Amino acid sequence: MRPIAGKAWGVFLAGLYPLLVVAPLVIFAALNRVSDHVRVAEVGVDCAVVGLTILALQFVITARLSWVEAPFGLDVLLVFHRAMALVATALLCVHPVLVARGEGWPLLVGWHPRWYIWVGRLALALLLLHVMVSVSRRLIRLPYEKWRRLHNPMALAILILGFVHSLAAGDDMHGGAVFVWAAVMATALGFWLYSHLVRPRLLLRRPFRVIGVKAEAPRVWTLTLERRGDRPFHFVPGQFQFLRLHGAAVPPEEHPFTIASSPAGSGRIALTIKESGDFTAGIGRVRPGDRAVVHGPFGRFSHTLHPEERDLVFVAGGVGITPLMSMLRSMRDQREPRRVLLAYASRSTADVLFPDELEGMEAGGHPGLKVVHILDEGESGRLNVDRLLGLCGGVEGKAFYLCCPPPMMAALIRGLRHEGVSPSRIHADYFSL
Amino acid sequence: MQRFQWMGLYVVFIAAALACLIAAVAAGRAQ
Repeated sequence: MRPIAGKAWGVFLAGLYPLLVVAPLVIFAALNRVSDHVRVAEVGVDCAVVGLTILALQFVITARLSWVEAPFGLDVLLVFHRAMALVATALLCVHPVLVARGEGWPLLVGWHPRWYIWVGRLALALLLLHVMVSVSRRLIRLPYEKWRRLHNPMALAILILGFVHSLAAGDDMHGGAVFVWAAVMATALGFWLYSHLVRPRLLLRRPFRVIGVKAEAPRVWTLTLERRGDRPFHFVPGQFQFLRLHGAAVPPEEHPFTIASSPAGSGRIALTIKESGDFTAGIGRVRPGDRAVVHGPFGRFSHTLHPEERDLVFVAGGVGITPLMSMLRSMRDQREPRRVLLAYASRSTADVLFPDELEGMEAGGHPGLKVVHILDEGESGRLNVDRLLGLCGGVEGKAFYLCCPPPMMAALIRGLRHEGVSPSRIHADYFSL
Repeated sequence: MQRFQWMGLYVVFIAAALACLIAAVAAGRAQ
């Protein structure tokens, strides 16, 4: 099992990021100590330098690099990416207003400015449009795949337009500053090219093969994949990967799925997938022998990262059992003596996944597992925090691992926090991010 | 969950630090 990057590396990256964000501005100020702008316009120009630098660094944050992702988790990185996109957008919106206030409003509203002002306007308009679409994606019911196909080239276009505008309009753009600025933009472009063109081809050289397709429950399938050659696939239980299948049954798109098997599976991984969208609708028609490309693993939703926790409460909703199943299987294989209560919510008995295996684990004793099924169709009612507290007999000394639909997850987290459970003892798999 | 709380604080810290830095640099360079 490969250890996930530790805290020190995360602290280093978190300290490095703000330094990188401000580095171009500080270098420009050191190279050109006095500018031609009045103060309000200079604030506007500096906002643009910082805003564009943040946009450039977004290409590094979202490149799914394991050395960047490992200390934080991809879920946190994506939320950070969104938050910094809003910070950059705010800075880039302030930029033209302050520059125009200092140097004349025609820069902002005139019809006949120089060409590079139009380029800047176009970049800002595209950025605003793109942020609005991204923020309201669910509201306007734009499918994730379509949005992503729009997002990747659009982000690059916005950065290039912003770069062209800054090269032509910026007073700092001479001498060494041009090289610094070009290096920032080239870095962004390099990471974009790597993550969208180079890495997919590298991954194709290390493909997996589907070796089994098993029906687990109505509309739920387990794919077993094996890596060609001798190279093992290291992951910790609870992590996920991005899967691309090259067969006729599903489109060759990349989608994230949690690994349900134990890391002790000798180069094989099992993915339990529910038919719930255009891509997954054909998952049951995937055939053994189909080629698969796996990128990962990612995520920090794993009990192995918290060895001090001995008394665990797992909450699963439907197919959300998969990361917890990986952890349980790993505990069984490692003969870990932890205690686990699994509260498993399903629609009906027929929808319960892995019933026999869970029963076997309960009898096996490693981990000390107790499974409580909560069925929508039964008399037990839905799982809420009062029910959960009743099942686990209080929160003292317990750690909670939640993987369930977002409304249930939010309600349980609120309830657990209300009961005084520390955030450090609540681990949630935000698979719908 | 704690990771998201730290991240939120971190973003607020960065935004505040950037505002201060931009104001300071602009004050130093402007005419």
